[in-house]
Amino acid sequence: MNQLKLVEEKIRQLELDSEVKMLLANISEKVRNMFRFITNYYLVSAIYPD
Amino acid sequence: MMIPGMIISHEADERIKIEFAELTFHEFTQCLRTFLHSVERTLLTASNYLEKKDGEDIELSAVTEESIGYSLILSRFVAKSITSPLLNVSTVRIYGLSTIAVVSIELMDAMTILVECVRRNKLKSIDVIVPIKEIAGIVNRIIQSVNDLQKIQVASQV
Repeated sequence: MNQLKLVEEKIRQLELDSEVKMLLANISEKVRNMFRFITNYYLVSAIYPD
Repeated sequence: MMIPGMIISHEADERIKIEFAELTFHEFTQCLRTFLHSVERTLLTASNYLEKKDGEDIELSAVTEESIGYSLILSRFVAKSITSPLLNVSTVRIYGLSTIAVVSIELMDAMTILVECVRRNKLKSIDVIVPIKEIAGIVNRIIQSVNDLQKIQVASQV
């Protein structure tokens, strides 16, 4: 998720209200979590097949 | 909106009856993919709305509601995987499904705030459009990852 890090860095550099920056950073964090848990789920599925 | 596994019928007094068929993991993955697609569409619709300024917000409301609907369906899948003995799911996998469902709700929580700000014209700077589009692009890459991971899982089970 290096691409997400770049987007987060861009958001930090933009001249936006702090609230708007927080809003975008929050979405970015949730997207990161989504990717992480999906990857974890498939790894677990491979380790513990039903 | 048709939901995977949804069965619609009419009762004797003509009331609509909605039931759900037994769920499979394939349906969960399909639903997850549809959810991510609707998140991507919501972000793109929000950025288009900001670009046009005079655009109708009906489409924005529709795609947001669709995304919320799918995140709730993911939660329903998790509830079903716990209660339905037919699925025979291990605790570890139920935990994995639960975390995905929880994160999908958290993502929608953040998205609804963004959509409300867009609709109420609280995002005055057009600089927000580029990051919103880029996040939509990342969501699209996650969809591709879901496809790839599903292929790996299928291959490991053969």
